[in-house]
Amino acid sequence: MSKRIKQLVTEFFGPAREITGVAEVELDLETTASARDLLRALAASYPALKGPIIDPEGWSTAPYILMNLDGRETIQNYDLELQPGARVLLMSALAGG
Amino acid sequence: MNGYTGKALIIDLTERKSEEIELSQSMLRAYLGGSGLAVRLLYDHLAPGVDPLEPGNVIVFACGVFAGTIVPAAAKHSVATKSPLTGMLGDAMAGSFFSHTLKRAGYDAVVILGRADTPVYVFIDDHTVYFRDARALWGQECFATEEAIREELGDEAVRVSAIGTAGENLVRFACIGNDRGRQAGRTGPGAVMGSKNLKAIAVRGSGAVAVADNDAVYQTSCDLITQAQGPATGKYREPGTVGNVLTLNRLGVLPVRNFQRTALDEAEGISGETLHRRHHEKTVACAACPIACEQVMKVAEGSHAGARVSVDYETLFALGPCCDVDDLPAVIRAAELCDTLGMDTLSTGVTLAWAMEAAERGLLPPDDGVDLRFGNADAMVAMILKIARREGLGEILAEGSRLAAQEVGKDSDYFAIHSKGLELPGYDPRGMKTYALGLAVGTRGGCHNRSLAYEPDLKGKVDRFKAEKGRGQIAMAQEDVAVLLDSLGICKFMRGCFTDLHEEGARLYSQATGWDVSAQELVEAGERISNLKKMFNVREGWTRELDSLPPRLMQEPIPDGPGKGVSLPPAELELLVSDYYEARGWTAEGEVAPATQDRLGLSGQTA
Repeated sequence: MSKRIKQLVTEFFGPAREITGVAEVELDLETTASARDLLRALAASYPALKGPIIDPEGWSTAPYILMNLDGRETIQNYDLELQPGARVLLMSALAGG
Repeated sequence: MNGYTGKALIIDLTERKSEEIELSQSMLRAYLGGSGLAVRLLYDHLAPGVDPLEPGNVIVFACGVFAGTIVPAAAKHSVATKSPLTGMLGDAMAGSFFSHTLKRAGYDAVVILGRADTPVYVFIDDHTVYFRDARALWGQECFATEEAIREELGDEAVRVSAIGTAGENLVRFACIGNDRGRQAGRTGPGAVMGSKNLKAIAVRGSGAVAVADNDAVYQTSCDLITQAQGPATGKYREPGTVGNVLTLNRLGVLPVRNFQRTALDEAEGISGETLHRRHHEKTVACAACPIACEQVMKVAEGSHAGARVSVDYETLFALGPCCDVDDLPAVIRAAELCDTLGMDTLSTGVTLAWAMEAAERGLLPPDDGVDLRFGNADAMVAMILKIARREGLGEILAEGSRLAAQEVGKDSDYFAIHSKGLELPGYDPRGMKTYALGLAVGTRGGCHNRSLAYEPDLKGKVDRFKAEKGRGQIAMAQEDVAVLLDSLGICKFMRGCFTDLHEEGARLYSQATGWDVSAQELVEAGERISNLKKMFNVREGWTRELDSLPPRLMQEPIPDGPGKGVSLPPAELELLVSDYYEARGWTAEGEVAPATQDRLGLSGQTA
């Protein structure tokens, strides 16, 4: 029996966009997929994200990189189950100038 | 003395004389240097109530303790004066070889008094001070003045802080330029120099700055350089802070059209990435910095061909989205004009945005040949020249948004986007409540760089849409970190290179000075300096209603983006401000309570 899937969009900003060369990507994940699962899937699609953007040891974001949900809240718990239709932002910790 | 020179130079322009004064160990240890030392000296030398553009005003330049040593990215100098823009503390920082050289000349600080009867520049040649005729330099731009003085003195190693025509014409947000593109930018110190007929300060320093433990300072500096070239600062190098445009736009806190909107429908065209791809010429560093965040942009063709200047996020925001301008070559030209004429890009852009809105509402008279309206890049560029020269509408706009709105009247202060007269930076505070508090209570006016309170909001440490008790403590801690870095003279972009800023900072400070300073002592120094800044403002007539934000931001909810509908009503801001006063140990009216003054060694110093 095939697993049910949900579609999740990840938007890339700053160095994440520089590495992937795209503004966003849509991936199919299992319905129970968490933020950590999404990072694994992203690393599989874009291996160069491993290291500067994604920490492959703990499958969290690298230091100084933030994972944001729908532009509203920063994801602190990577076991958070992502809802279908969620848009996840991978961006740098912001800085003034 | 190690780290410090232990001396300040007092220069009286009226009498054209100078004297050295000793700076005690206890004073240096209490106020550290940079911003802390500058404010301390300003407080001690300025009589209360002086008009900022009268000869009685004082302007202080102070170096950080590490200037002149090998400690990386620690060459900021501070400029403190009574601000002609805010009437409160004028407080600006610049990264510079100027501070290295001033220390090598033998001074931790320079205090400027009085007014010269004709334009002069001061040349500090080690321990000799010359007052040189600057009449031939009057009217020259900042960069040209630097070069002309070096040529006149015949020494490429001379470092110069200079004003342009904006400072000469007393534009209230005129800056002071140095190193061909670094500025003590905010709160109008360039106008104070102009009012004193002081075109520039030139320094030649041939001495050395001793540190107590050379080997330890060397090793710590090597470790910091390694950190500074790693991921902690990567965002500053590629594409630089201009990368904030797309991110803040997505988060719905990018101010657009004079803060009428918080996101652009199409941001790619004005993004840092597009700017970088089309116009990036090179990346450079300011003095002794291993990060290299400065992105130099150049226009190759078109009507702005040849324009060349470094652009950071605040400049791009102010001259781009805030004025609804998406013409990148025009933004580069406008930024170049601001730098060469000597005007703060942020105040220039936000004041122009106010003027564009006022003009569209029919509140401003037409200006000959300049059709001010949102999106008109040509008008923006033309009006920058007029502001610097105080021509036409430029005469009004040279006063900054607060005074311009007062002059125009007709409720135009409703959309004058400032706090205490200082135009706000490029983050909409309605969607960042801790930051909103930081802006409202800032002693130099609304400023991200002095509060750093945007960090907990944007990093998700708190719910950025919520106002609640506890934010006062957070805003206070962030502000004290900022003032500590400003007083040590360390660039804020280095803060991610420290695991524990206070512990590691105290270790480095002790290695340099030979004094056994603890982390707690640095915590208290930050708090002491923040409190002294507030006491300066209280002495100059500060009242609680000044700790506020523009009416538009407290009456209109966020119009678009993820925070759509969120508002920042006055009662909410009042709650935050009161919480901050309580955290600071201040009175309910927001003055520094006697017990807090006692604890910090500030008793008996109010006028």
